[in-house]
Amino acid sequence: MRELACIPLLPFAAFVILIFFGRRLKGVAPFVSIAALAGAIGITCSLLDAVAHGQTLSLRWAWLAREAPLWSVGLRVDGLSWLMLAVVTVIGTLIQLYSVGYMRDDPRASRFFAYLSLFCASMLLLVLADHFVLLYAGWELVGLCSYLLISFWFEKPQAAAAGRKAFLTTRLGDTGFLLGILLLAAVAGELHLDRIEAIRWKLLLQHQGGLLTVASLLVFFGAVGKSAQIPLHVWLPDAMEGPTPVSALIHAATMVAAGVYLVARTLPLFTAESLQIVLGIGLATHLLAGTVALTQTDIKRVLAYSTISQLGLMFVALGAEAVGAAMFHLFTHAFFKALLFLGAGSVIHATHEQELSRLGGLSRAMPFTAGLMLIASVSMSGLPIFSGFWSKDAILLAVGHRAPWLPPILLASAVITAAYVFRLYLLCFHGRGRVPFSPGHAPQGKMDMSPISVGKMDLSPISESPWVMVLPMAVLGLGAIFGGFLGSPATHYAFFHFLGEHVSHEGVDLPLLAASALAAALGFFLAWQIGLQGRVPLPAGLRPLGHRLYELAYHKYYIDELYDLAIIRPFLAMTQALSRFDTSVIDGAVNGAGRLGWELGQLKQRFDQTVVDGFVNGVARAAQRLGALGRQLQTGVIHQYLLVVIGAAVTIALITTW
Amino acid sequence: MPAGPLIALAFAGLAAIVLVGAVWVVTLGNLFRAALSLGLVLLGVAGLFILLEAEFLAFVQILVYVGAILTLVVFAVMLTARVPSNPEGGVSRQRLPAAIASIALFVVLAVVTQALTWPTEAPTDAASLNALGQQLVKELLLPFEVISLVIVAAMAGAMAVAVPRK
Amino acid sequence: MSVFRLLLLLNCALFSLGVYGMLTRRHAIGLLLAIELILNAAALNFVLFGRLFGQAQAQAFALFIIALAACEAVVGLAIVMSLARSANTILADRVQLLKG
Repeated sequence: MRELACIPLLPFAAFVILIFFGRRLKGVAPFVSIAALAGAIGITCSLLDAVAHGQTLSLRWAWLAREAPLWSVGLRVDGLSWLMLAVVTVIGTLIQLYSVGYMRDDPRASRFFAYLSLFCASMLLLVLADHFVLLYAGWELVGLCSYLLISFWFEKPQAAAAGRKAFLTTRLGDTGFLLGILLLAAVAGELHLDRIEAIRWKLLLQHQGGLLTVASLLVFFGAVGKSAQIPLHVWLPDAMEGPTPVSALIHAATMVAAGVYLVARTLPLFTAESLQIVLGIGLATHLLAGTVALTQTDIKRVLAYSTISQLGLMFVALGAEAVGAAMFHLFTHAFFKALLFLGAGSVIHATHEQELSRLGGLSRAMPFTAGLMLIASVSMSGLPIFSGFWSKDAILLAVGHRAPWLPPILLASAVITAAYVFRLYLLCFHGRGRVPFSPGHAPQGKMDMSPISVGKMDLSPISESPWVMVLPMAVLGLGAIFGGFLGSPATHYAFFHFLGEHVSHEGVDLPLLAASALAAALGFFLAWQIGLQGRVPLPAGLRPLGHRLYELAYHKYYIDELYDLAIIRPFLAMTQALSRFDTSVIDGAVNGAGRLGWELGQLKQRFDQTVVDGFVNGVARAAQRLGALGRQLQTGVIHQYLLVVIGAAVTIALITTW
Repeated sequence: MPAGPLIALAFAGLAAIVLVGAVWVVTLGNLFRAALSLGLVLLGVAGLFILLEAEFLAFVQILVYVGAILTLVVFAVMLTARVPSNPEGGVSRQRLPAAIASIALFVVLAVVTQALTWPTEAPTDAASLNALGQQLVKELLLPFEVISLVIVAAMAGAMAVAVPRK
Repeated sequence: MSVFRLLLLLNCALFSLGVYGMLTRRHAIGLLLAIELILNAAALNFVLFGRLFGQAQAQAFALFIIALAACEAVVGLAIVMSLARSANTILADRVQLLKG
């Protein structure tokens, strides 16, 4: 199965080519990386048949020590990783195609594509790894790429700061993950992903269930960092400073889903206690991030919080041990969320504006973008038939088995989901623009803010994005509509069978269908009423409370401020205190020691000058006299030296012979 | 090893040529002539190589020594001709001590080497060129490679030294 | 006395003459010529003993000597040229940088 290695190596080769020759390739550069990824798609597709028949393909090689089976790492494909492969390669290719248009005017576009290729290579490595350490290597590499791409426009201080924040925050999670791996290696002596069941039973038989819980929670902590779950979610909204295709690929469809993949892959490690924690964190994230998304006014931030919220939903499913449902939602979410991001990018590309309060009425200027955004929004809100419905449906059914109290909560949150996604759509494409645009590529030229032009915007210079951007969006749109059928009765739940799961609910659950449709409709209504029309259907008595809740959500539950107060400030205070301690106590001690040394030195100097120097100078003078004598021998004439050498050689020969 | 009066005569002639040439090399005042005498010595040694059945070495001797080194020396002599060089005939003041030391050295060497005992009869067949090649690429591979490295270094060094600096 | 012994004497003479040349020549190129004599004496000695004991290795070493002599001549002459340029002399005893 050598072609397995080609899957990550192809994009990696593209990265190497682009990083060295990208500038010279100019316009061809993007197509190098697209071609590489398309090749990866080809290989992935060729594996489908074998994987669909339940086979596991693997390729292993010895690493470090040939004798130690612990370190024979390799690549391996089963249903779960094939699914991730397909998502990463297909969506990655589409988004790279889109980026051709989006990054057209960027002077460092070839660098951008190089990073994207490296990201795809690392992500594919992560997905294919059959060994925790290899997986961790991919894990860190995608983190690095995420950092590089978030701060791609590092001239902007916010972008640089966002990159740093993302890197440091996920680093926290990664450290937990690394500790988890080390713990597993220490107590179980096994690091192969296909031996997870074995690890579980080994530890349980040794009555070390507690250790298993700790290890699984450490691994989960890594997933929390990567998938931006509470409490490590703060980096993802800031990561929106990166180029929009990056947000779509890395921070919506693939990398952040790696946490879900990791937990799905290592689920046998999770004990009942740790599953409850997974479920709790997922639910908290789902609800909190959803409400925050309702209040944000930046397109990309709304989408970022919605991503966090949806990832939370996947963790809820994982917490209920519904791997198939979680992966199914990951699959459909990758399509519609990538589409939402690309649509947002299309809007930003056309208007150079991403503040919702200054957008509006774009549906006439950008009909394709508007239509595709509508598809994605509908799909995400979970309206029946669209793909989001099927995956949410699967999650609801699966968690209903575990915890009957959960589906109502999730239905309520589905209202929130529908509300924020339609609010985004309506504010962006309908209603009237509120502030004049400064379109085109010279924003400074038209900063005419005269009161007359306020209230109606000049739509004429805004036009639809080029076809390289619309085409990938259209393909994603098809996925957002029809992708869900793979897990529906229409295809006999092919998706779940592909993952080797048993489907407990056959057929369509009609009450659930009605409830979902109702939730989506309610969300739409709320978005239309509150978001677009500005009416607040609350009795007057509850308005202050509503306002306070709004403020709370608008400020993201003050979590950034809390971290600032609880972690960063104390840390700074501590470092300042340490610094004061340094300057007063330690420096004092050092200076005192220095002064003492100086005084001693003065004494010694006097001794030196009289006694020691006298002796040394005497010796030196004697040596000088001797040297003056010997100097006369050193004539510098080579012949005389040679004569001495020959004479000495002859003399020695004579002495030794007789 | 072939023997006979003709061979002995050839030995004697070549030895005489080498000896006379060597004396000229070290005593002639004109450096150009000394260099030409060195050529004579080198040719004589090449002849002796042939008589000792080391034909390959004889050709290398002529090619490298006479063809390359001697040419180089002659060039150097001519290039430095304008440099003031010969105020006192080019001969040192320490001739007498030098002569004494050299003769002493010769005596020591001669006595020591003549005192050695060795097989009275040399093997009839000389070492073949084939054997020499085998030696070079097998047992002496390392010295062989080192020599090539030295040659490269010498060339680079010579260029670095000889190219005039601004 | 066999031919070998006579040739050995010739070698000794060649070597001693080289040494004499090195001791008396003031001209730097003259010194190099004397060194070539010495090297030739050594090479001839190798070949001589190689023939006597039927060893091919001796010839290989004679070959190395020739190669090294070439290197020595190249570097030596380069030094002589730069000496002539920088010190405007090629008399070896005029260069007395090592004089104490």
